[in-house]
Amino acid sequence: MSGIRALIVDDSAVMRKIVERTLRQGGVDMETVAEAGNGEEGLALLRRQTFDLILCDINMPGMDGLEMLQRMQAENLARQVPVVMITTESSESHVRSALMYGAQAYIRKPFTPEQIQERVLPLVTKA
Amino acid sequence: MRDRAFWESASGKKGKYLSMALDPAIARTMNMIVAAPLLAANPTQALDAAVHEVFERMLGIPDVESSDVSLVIPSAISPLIPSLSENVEILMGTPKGSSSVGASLAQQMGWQQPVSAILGFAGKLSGACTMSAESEAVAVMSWHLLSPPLSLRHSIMRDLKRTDSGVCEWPHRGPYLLDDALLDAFGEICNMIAGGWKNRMPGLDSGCALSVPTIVSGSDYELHPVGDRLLVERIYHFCGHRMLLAIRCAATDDIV
Repeated sequence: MSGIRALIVDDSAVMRKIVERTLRQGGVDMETVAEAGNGEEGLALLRRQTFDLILCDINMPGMDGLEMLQRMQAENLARQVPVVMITTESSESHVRSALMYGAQAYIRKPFTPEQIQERVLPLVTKA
Repeated sequence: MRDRAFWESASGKKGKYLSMALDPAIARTMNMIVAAPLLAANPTQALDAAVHEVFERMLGIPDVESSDVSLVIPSAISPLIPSLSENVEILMGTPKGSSSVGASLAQQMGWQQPVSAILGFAGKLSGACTMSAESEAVAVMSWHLLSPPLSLRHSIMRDLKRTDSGVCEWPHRGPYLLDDALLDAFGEICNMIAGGWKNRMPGLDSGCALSVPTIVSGSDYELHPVGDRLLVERIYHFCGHRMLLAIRCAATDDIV
C-alpha cells in the first residue's frame, strides 16, 4: 500500500494524535497527515489539497462534522474519498445523517485500536 | 428500500439489528459501524459502564472501583427512564443544598488543587457532566491516554507500574505541569464518559447534545443548573487515585 494523504478533523489535538498513531500502528502507511480543529478548517484544507482518507469528529466548536459533510456534498468536494466518522455520538439519527451525507464508516469513541484498524484499513486498501 | 442492517454492540458481539430505510449502497456500509452500546437500567449503572469502557479501552486501566455519593431522580426526569418506574419513589428526593456537585464536593474531600472538566447537555436535558480530580490524578489519567504507545499500554501497566498491592503508579514524581496536552486529554476523557452515559440512557441517545469540554482549575466555583434535577455523583478509584463524576441535569419543557 503506498502512502496515503489523510485529513483528521477533531477539536481535540490529543484525539487527532491518537487516531493518527493508531492508524500508523495498524499498518496504514500515511505519507502526510493534515489536521483541522473543526469543519470550517477541514473544508478549507479540502478546497486546497487532495486527500485519500478523511477522519472526522461530529461535536466540534463552530462547524460540526455533519455540517462539514453536507458542505462537502454541496461543493462536490472529495466525492471519491472515504470518510470515517469517529465520535462519541452514536444515536441512530447521527449515524443515519452521517451515512446520508457520505460517510462510509462510523466509529464510536471510546474505540479500540482493533476497531479503528478493522474499519479503516479496508477503505484505504480499496482506495 | 428498507434494509436490515447489522450494528455491532459495544461488546463486539453480533446480534443487534436495526431497521432503517437505506439505499443499498449505504446499507452495505453498515457493517462498518460501531453503534450504540447496550442501554443501562439506571443512571448510575450507565455512568459506571461508561467509565469502565473509557478506562479500559482508551487508558488501558481495567481496574476501576466505584462508590456512590448520591443519586436523586426527580419526577420530571423519571419518564426518561421507564425501567426505573418501580424504583422512582425510592430514589426521588431533593439534593442536599445547591452546591454539592463538583467543586464543593472536591473541597469536602480535601483536594488541594482539583481540576474539573465540564461538559454541557442541551436538548432533552439541560445541565452538565463534571469530572473532577486532583492534579496528579488528572496527570495519571491523561498520561495513560497520551503517552504509551497503544500496543504497549497493557504491558507497561503489567510489567512496570504495579506494586505488590496491585496499585499502579504514575512513573513521574515530584512537581509536574498540567500542560495543554494533558488538559486536552482530560477533557476528552470526560467527553467520552459523558457521551457514553448519554448513549446508555433510554431516550437520551438522540435529541440530547453535548458541548465541547471546558477545563476549570481550583474549587472556587459553583454550578447553578435550574429546575428539577437528576443528580448522579460517583467516586471512582484507580491506580491509587480518585476522581469524582457528577451529572446534574434538568428536563427541558418538551419532555416533562
